[in-house]
Amino acid sequence: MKKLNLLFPDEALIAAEKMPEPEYFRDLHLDQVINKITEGREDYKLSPYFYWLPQDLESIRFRQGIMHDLENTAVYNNILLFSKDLSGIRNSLAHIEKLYYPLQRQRNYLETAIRYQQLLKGLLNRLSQITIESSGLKAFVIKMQEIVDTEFFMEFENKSAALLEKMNSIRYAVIVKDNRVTVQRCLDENDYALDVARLWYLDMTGTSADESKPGVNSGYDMNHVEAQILEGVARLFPEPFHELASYCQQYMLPGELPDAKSDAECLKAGRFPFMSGDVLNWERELQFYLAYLDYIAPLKHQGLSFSIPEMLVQSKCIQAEQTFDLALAIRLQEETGQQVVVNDLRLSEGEQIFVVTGPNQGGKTTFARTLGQLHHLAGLGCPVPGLNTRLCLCDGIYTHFSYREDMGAGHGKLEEDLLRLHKNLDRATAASIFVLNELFDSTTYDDALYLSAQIMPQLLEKKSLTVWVTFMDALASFGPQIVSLMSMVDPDDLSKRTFKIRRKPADGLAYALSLAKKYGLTYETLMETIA
Amino acid sequence: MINISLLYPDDRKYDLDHVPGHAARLALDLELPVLFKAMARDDKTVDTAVRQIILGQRSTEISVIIFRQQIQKDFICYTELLAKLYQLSMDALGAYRESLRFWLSAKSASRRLRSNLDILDMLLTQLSSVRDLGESYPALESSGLKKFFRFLQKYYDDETLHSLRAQITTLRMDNGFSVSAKLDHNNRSQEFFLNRDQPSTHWLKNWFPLVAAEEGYSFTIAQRDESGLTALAEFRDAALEPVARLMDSAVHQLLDFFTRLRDETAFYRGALNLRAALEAREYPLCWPVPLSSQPTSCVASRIYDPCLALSQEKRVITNDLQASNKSLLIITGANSGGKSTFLRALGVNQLLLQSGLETAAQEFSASICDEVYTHFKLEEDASMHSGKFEEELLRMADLVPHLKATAMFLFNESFAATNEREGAEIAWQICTALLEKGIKIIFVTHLYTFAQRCYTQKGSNILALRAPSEENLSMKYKMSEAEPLNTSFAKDVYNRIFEYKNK
Repeated sequence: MKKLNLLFPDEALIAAEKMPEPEYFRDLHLDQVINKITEGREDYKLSPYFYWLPQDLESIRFRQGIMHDLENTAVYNNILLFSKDLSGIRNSLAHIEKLYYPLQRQRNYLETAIRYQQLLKGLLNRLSQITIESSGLKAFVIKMQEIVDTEFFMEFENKSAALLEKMNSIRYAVIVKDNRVTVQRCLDENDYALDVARLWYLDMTGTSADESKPGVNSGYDMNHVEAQILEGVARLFPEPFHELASYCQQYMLPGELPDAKSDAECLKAGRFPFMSGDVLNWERELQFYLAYLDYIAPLKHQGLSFSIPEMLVQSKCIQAEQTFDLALAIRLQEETGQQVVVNDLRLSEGEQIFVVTGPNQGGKTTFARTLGQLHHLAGLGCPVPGLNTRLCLCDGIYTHFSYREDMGAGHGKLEEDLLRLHKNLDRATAASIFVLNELFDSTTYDDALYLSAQIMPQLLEKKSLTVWVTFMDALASFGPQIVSLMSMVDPDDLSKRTFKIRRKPADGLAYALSLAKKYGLTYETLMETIA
Repeated sequence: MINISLLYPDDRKYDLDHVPGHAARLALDLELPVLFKAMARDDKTVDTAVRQIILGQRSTEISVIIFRQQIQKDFICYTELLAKLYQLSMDALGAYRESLRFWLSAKSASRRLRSNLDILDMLLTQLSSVRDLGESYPALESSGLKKFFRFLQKYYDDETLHSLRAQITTLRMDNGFSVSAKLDHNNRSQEFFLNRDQPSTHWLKNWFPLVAAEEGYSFTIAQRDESGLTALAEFRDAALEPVARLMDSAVHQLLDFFTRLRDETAFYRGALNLRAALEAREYPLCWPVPLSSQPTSCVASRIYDPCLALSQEKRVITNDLQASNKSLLIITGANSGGKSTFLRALGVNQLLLQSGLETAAQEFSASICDEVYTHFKLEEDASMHSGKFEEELLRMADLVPHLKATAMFLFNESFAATNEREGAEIAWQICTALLEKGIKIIFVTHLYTFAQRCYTQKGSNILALRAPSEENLSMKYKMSEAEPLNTSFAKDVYNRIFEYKNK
């Protein structure tokens, strides 16, 4: 029987678990993005999945299908809940193994078993009420149903429920006088405290809710007085406690870890006889989707758009409306709650190279990164920033960024740059992407212009999609394949950047405005804002 | 449960710490600290209460305003009742704080339970003293005070107090305790509840071991088993936590009652102090008449700014005002002509009116407004001239999101930090929008273009007032109805001072 894998439809294509981080990650700030995405999910070892570009349309479409299903909130929430609960169960199991008192350990196993059963059935039940379209998730549901329908699972479930019922019906009294503690069967039906409350005119509706206030008698730590009380209860009610012990013998004795394809922490719960190894694997694979969607959720909430891109194979007519730099958007959102500025990006037939000029700190580099990020994310099968997106299926992304701190490196630096550029131009194909940022800015202006004029024809000849950030206006009018873009300033306040990048012949300037508009104090805006 | 209030007839809950964000600015612009100081007379509790209530608990309901006015009238007749109520609540809270000193580390439930029971005992005593005051003052007229005492007599009669005290004794658990429990998901004892039969309630059982009576399982922690004793103490705390928490709420309920009584009586004490201070200076005072917010109206005779009256020795000039159905008051005229003072007088008295207090005028009736906002020119105009206009706009923009119809907005020489044309245009746009939204505006301005445009275009909605020029000594600081004048009186002042110096 063929195993189901939720990341790679064809088993032969499963990427090595030890894929290194691609070279362009740092320049494109994808390292920040992926670190953030996988943060808090270390147990799953997900990073390699975000490094590897499948490069075949079938895999991309398989993942896009699952992503598309998960964009439906109902599907997403159910899968998320499934994953959170399963992870909770794994944590519980690790804890329970270490518990000192057997009677306590056994009860915990029982509770965890029931959580596991409810988890699987609950998921199936809820997913059955939702339309699922992707072949990936459809197969997942079928396989899960097969597990739940086994005789093993059904018997396990019945036994657990009967046992829990018995445990829960136990009620007893504890009497403490000085140092003597007595456990006996309980007589009172009602809480005397309610009478007290009535007499004091206390409104108890609100207070009973925080009965489970943490800190008081919750958690695993059982002291030996409690343990002795528990012993007493077990003597008063022997039958359910015997039953519990034999139940644990059957389902809860940890064995050897079955063969796993990865050493990820999350798969270790497979040692328990009741736990299905397949469920653990699928949950790990689904983390890829959840992690990404979880990461972009606050941005969507801010009103930013994402879409699953159409993949272009021959054409370069890429398009993304209202797109943005993912790393920057998250940083702004987290640090200041601001929404990142969005830009449109489009190439028509025959166009190949964006040359971006304009004032500094105006969003040029951000724009360049965005183009690179979009193609990496699209290659992973993820929804990308922007609306109506069409992107290239690319075979490589080559970045050349100049950082200010490298300015002092002089000759050696330029030589290194040129060497790497030469190597990359050699490897590149018409399906490759170049992201060039302030190339050659460690040289004089004349030199930089000369070098640029040499590189440009090579890029044109390779037909590689390129974005080139530069301060040299001349590059923007090199040929018909060049699209000239500019970072814009606020027409009302020259010192203010709008972070908008527009098609515009390279130059630079703007005009003045009234401050009132800036502060929303014109008649029109006031009429709108005052309630 | 005990929500009885002397501020609101419906005994609603309110949060004294809730003061709107612009209140600090409002207090500064209207020079309210002078007022608060006179009301507090060095009593910090009164100072806090009057600040919080005047800035945060003004009412937009006529019934609430009348309710407070009536209570204060009673207190004017029976000042010693007010003093006693205030003192009893201060004493109760003081004794509570004192008891806390010994219980700072009382985190455990059993210790907390004991300290709570002691405190409750004390609070019940104070409560019955407050209750008994009602019988000493049978002639009270305000619905608020009558209801207050009726409430205490009904819910805390002698029988109730007796059973509460009996219960305090039981809950001390001097002979151990008995609880019921269940096993939780950890097999730990949980969901404790108190059994009706406590060891202490059945003294006879103390002679026979409980185990003898029923099937059970017992064990004893040896006196030298320290960890065992700690564990037992932990168990006791867990088992008694629900009761301790219950008694926490019992204590809090009574503390809330006394805190509220203290703050509310402090507020009325402040009111009496203000009355005394203004009467001592022979200024008129009146019970204002609150009117519904529509149509906008404000009628006053001999109105003045109480803050100025309290802070300067020189006699303050009073003004009269007839503004029915006017939503824009525009005040122009000479510098030091009393424009700002008049603006403040209207603002402060509006606050007093809506707080339920007496107002600084011989007669005063005004429409209720949702909130009072101020936008005053800042005095410190030294250094950064270019940023000043922007600062003014920023201050205005901060207020905009809070504005609601029926708010009242006081502008004092706003938007003048730029050239006249621009300032006038911005003031015009802002005022037009605010007026259309139903906000009432009083605008002191030198922007002639703006004032004139309002005067000619806003029609019957506007009342234009003018401060007299310096030459007109007989009319000093008296506002009169008049069209805005195009000549600034600054020239007069300039000429006067410079000619004087040149001589």
